[in-house]
Amino acid sequence: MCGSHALTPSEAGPGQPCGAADGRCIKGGWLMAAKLCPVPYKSLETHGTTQAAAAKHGCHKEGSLSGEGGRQDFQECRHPAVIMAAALTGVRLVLRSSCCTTVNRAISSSARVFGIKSRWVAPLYKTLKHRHIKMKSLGLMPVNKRSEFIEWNYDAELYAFSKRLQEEFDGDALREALTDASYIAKETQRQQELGVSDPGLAMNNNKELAARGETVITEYCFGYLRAAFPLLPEEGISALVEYCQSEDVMSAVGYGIGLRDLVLCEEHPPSSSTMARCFQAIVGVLSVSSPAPRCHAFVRDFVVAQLVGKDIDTIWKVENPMGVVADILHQSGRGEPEPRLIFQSGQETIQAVYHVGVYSDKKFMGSGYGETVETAVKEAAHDALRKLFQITDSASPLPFGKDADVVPLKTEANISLDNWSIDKTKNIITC
Amino acid sequence: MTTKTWNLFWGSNFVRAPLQNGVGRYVQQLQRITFKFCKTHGGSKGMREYIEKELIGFARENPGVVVYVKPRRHRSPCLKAEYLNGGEEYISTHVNTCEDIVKWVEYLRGRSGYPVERLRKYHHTDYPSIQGPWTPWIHRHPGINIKEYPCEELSAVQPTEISATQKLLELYEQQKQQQEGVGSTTS
Amino acid sequence: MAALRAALRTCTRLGNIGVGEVVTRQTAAVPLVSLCRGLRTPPAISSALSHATPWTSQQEVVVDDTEAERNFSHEVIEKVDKQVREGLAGRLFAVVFLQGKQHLVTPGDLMVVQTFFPPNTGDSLRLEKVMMVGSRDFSLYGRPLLGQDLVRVEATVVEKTLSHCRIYFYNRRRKNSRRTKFNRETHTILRINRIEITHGINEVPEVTGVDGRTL
Repeated sequence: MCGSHALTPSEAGPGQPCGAADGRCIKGGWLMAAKLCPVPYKSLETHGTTQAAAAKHGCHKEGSLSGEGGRQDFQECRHPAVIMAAALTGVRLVLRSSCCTTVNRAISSSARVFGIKSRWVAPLYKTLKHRHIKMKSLGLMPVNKRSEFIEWNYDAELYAFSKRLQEEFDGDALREALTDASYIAKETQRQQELGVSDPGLAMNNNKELAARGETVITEYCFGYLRAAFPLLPEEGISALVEYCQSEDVMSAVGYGIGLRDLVLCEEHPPSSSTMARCFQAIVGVLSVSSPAPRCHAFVRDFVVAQLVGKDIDTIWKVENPMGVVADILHQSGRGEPEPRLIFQSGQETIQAVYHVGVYSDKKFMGSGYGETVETAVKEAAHDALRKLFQITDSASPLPFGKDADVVPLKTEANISLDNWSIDKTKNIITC
Repeated sequence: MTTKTWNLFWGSNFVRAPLQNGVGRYVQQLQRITFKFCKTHGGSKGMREYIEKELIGFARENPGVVVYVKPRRHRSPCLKAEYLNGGEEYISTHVNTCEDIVKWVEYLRGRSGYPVERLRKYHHTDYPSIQGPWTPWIHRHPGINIKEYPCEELSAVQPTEISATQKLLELYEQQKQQQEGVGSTTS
Repeated sequence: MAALRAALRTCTRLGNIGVGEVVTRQTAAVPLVSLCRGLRTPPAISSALSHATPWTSQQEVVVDDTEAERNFSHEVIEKVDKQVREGLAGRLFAVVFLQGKQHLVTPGDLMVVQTFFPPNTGDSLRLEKVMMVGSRDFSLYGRPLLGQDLVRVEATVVEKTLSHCRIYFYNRRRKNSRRTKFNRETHTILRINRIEITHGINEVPEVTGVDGRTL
């Protein structure tokens, strides 16, 4: 019986070692389990001395239980909450289940509850850690809001927020921008539940500011991108602006500037739509409180900067590149595009490579590689388009900082894809 | 510890900066730092000294960082840093001196919040080639396409220097010419 | 021949400067070495085209082409200058020398300086030792460095951190002697912001080395 346990609500409370006959038991926090468990716990005594000790402490209610009784008890305690608590509190709950199994061994028996065959402590720890991580990733672990911690000062956080971004925000407007509609609704409901008939919450949500910010971002992105890509058709510009305005990008920027802990909303962590709205509202606040160039610089540095390193082809997809090239050449009064094989290697093998060039009036327009001739032709047409629109890797980088300040925003739309011709853009095709 | 052993336990990653930091403006990634210490214990002596001497200056120089000070009875001191990308870092400063803590705070201040990992490369670029990537066909003459194989010219040996046989033949020719010259002058 | 030349223009990355014609001319005359560096034509095809054997003993007539070469280089330099002036050069890349290492960088890159490096986070730097700068159509090489004011490479320090812990384990066999050392080196991460050619590549500015500072 040396492996059996005495579970007593020890005087020391949670965190202190519980009585263990074999000295191998893990520090007992079973009181915590008892707290989490809605079923009243019956103490189990199997060992003489500890039984006596328990009796001395006055917590020996049901008398000595061993063997069959223990199993019975375990089944009683096998409430979902206990299992969940066991997973949540990790190793501290080992004793809880171990005491109830038929085999009176501390670690091994408890480990078997978790599905581990080994008798040693380390594998159990590993499994528990693994479960902890998995539950965390599944979102089953409760995540505490940062604002619920003792060390939290909202005013200081807001001050640091503006200083960090090197911007001056209007204080009240900033608070408004960080307040989501769901938060106000939740607060009102809570007050009413507490018996306050008229909560009188003098708060505005950020919807108006978000709409304002969205307009600012859209306008600036259009103006900036038209100036930065003068030869890209308007369809491409629209696709880029749409990408910048997408919820993914907006919320990523919101997370990146530290809005996650500041935003007041019902859910936690904030959903990406809330985050996106909140960031747009921040831009809205800035457009109110700061001059336009400063607001534009903010949008440029945080929103447009997300385009750096992105492949424009993946954002704006041209479905039929060869058809588009043919249209453009037709509009420009040039000859039909003519794909020609420049080099090929490894035909009829799985590593075949074809290098195809697109020519018009025997002038080179672009080239591409592919494992089949069709792919290579498509790639070559893509390359020709990239060269025409000047969005290759060798094109000028997007201007930021002092370079961007001297670039005037372009309000008129770029040439649309249907009207795009080489003569209109006076483009010199370079290779 | 070899690289392989390291990878068994810790990850590796590439160089990265959160939210394209530095492309537009630089944003300090440390958003708040908490100094936890005990008011009486000796282990927190350095931390108390830091709070007395250095903390105000640190907070003044870094207005974008929220500084919290949290005294706790009979617990050893530590620093907890939180970053904009959600990263956190604890550093135990038990029995550290004030100077040590200055250095650790400086370390936390400059970090981006990504976990410390082995870097696979020390350089990151989105534009790996501007003049075009190399292919085996770069600088190859396209005339090679219309050759018919087997081609004697292309499969011929391309000597880079004169062979011994050739040298001997040349010497023989030279001697022959000289002898002819001598013969012609004498006759 | 037109298709051939067009393809050749793609192969030589100097098509825009118009050296393509020069190359075709030179391949016919000189089989092994082309006049323009970096435009080597493989010996196989060139000798096949020229039908010339290099060791044929014949008397050589050396033509004085100094003037022609000078004109050619002036022509190329003028074309590069024109591109830079008109802003058609596109994205530039540079090889910068920093703390004993050479880094190939282009705007938007991240690079790690792995030694002691005093600048702090948020500082803007200018990397002055530029060994080479290039774009789609040209490459300029320094010997070993380009002129101090010719190229302007600017960077921002975005992170200062320590590397992961490297463990150095020394063991002397059969000598009962072991040492383990732990080291975390300092890492400074730089973001390259811009690369710019400030003046004509063959011009010498009146004052050099002041970097726009007023003394």
